Amino acid sequence: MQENEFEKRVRKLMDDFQVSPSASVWEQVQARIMQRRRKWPLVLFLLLSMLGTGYLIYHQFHENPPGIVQAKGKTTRPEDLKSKDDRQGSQEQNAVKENNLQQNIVIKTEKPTANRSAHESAVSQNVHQQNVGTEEARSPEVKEEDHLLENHFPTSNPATSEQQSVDSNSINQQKTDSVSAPKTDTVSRRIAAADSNSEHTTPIQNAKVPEKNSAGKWSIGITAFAGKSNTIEQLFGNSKTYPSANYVNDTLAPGTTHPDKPFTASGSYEAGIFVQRKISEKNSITLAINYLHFSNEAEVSNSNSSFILAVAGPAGVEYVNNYYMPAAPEDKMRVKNKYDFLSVGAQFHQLIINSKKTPLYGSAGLSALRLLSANTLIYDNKTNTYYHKDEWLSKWQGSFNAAVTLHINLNHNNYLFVGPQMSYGFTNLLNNKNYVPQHLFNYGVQVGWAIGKK
Amino acid sequence: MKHIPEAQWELYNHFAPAMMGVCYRYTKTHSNAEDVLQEGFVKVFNNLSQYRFEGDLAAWIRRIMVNTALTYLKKHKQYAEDLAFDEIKLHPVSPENPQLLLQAKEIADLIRQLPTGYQTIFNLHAVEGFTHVQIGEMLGIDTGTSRSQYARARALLMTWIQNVETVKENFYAGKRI
Repeated sequence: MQENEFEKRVRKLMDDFQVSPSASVWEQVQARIMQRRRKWPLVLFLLLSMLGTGYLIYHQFHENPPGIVQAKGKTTRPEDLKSKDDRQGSQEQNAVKENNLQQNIVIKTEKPTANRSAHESAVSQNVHQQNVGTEEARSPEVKEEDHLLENHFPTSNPATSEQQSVDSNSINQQKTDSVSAPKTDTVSRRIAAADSNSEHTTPIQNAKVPEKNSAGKWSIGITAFAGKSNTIEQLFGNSKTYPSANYVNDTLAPGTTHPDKPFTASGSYEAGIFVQRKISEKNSITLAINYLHFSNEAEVSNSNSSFILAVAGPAGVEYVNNYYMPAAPEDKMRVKNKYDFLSVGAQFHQLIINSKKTPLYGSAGLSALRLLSANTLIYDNKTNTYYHKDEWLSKWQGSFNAAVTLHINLNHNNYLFVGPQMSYGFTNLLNNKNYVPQHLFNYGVQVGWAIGKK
Repeated sequence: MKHIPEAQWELYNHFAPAMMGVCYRYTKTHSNAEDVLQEGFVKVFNNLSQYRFEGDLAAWIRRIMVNTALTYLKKHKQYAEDLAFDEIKLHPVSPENPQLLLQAKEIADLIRQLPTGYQTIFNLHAVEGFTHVQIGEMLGIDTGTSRSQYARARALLMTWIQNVETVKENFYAGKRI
């Protein structure tokens, strides 16, 4: 046989050579394709969450900076109301005042309050008639202004009607100005006109300026947590109800008894970012995105793969050929289970102890956790064995968390916080109803730093 | 097809045995071959949109399998050491040319017995038809190294084939060895 013929022959033989793969290969291929496909909604969700949070922060910090107070749906700075020199609103008021003074509309009275009310009433009526004619034709802006004005100056007293008529002449003069004046000046003019009629009161100064408080204030921050985690059957009590062993493979003897605790606690940590909004002096809410790592440990004996174990999977019988028995005194090793999650959660905070420097807060909240990866042993209470079945873990978890945090105010916009925190997964970690439910549980200390807009 | 499990299954079912044959030749154990096959088919399904329907689909999938196998060999310690192509470990060249009466499975099993370096180069050159220049680029070795490794692999394989054929001939002839 020539050299080339050898290669040709080998190639021909190998081209036709086929080997049948086992059925599990297709299952694994399919699972990996599905896993890749399932990642897209998660990536999209995270992307949208981050964009949403970013927009929220940008919007709040650039268009409605903290320190600005809300009054009747209009944004007004307290200092604007107090300062008459360099603010446009004050300039308008001053201009109207001067105008009125030029027209000698100065009315002295022994009852400044009543006089003011009467005068204002007349101003309102005249201005309405002159400016827009009918009630129906008035714009919502003008109605709102009227409403504001009525709040500042209560309805006139009938006893002052005589005074009203006295005022009417001067008001008529004012009407002329009002006709040509833009509608937006209406409130300023009315306030100024009323102001000029009183030597004792200054409506702008008397108008109740909303108190500056921290409600509506936004802050962002980072948080970290370190502690212990475990999977437990339930949060309170200890009512294990293991069914009798159900060994499909007859050759496997039950052997050891059920372990008291299938798993023991191990390290847990998390880190994330949050955005917080104060909803009142004592309460605030937080939206947070966190990466969480949970772990726990199982004490098992050496691997036993001599038998194929038939177990109850979520959709029928599944076979396990590599599993662990619970630890025996002379034969034990520890295996660590690891879970990685991404969580999005909301938390409500309540001030418990008020202190200028170190207030104490209580918090409670809910989170949605998405399982990113896991390398765990499942405890099968029916066969009293441990084995890897990560595909039985639920991809989504719901979790309740509570914390007490001591805030350390570094300055007006900047604080650290530290305190104990616990969380409990109220959904079943196992997506297999044949076994006793498992719930995530962790506890530890969280620390964080938050900063608000100056 | 990318999102239709039935179609994916049809494609897998059609090509898996032949592709398993490819993976089988590049690895030492059945389990390793299945690992490569699984990884290869995941790549096939994830990159199916890149197939232009211009060439043979089987050839396209086969090329993915070969590349996946090479990556697997480089990544896993038990193979990576042999892929260092240490000249000290070279086997002598045998001048003999066997009749090659063996079945495909027997040849494949003998190829698997070769040291990983020999096995890889033999598969790439003799079976896949790559030139030594291409093999040098694929494995990051000199063309000369590829040539010498191939020559030794071929000689070693021929020796084994001849031995096996002799045993079989004697067996069927009723002779005792």
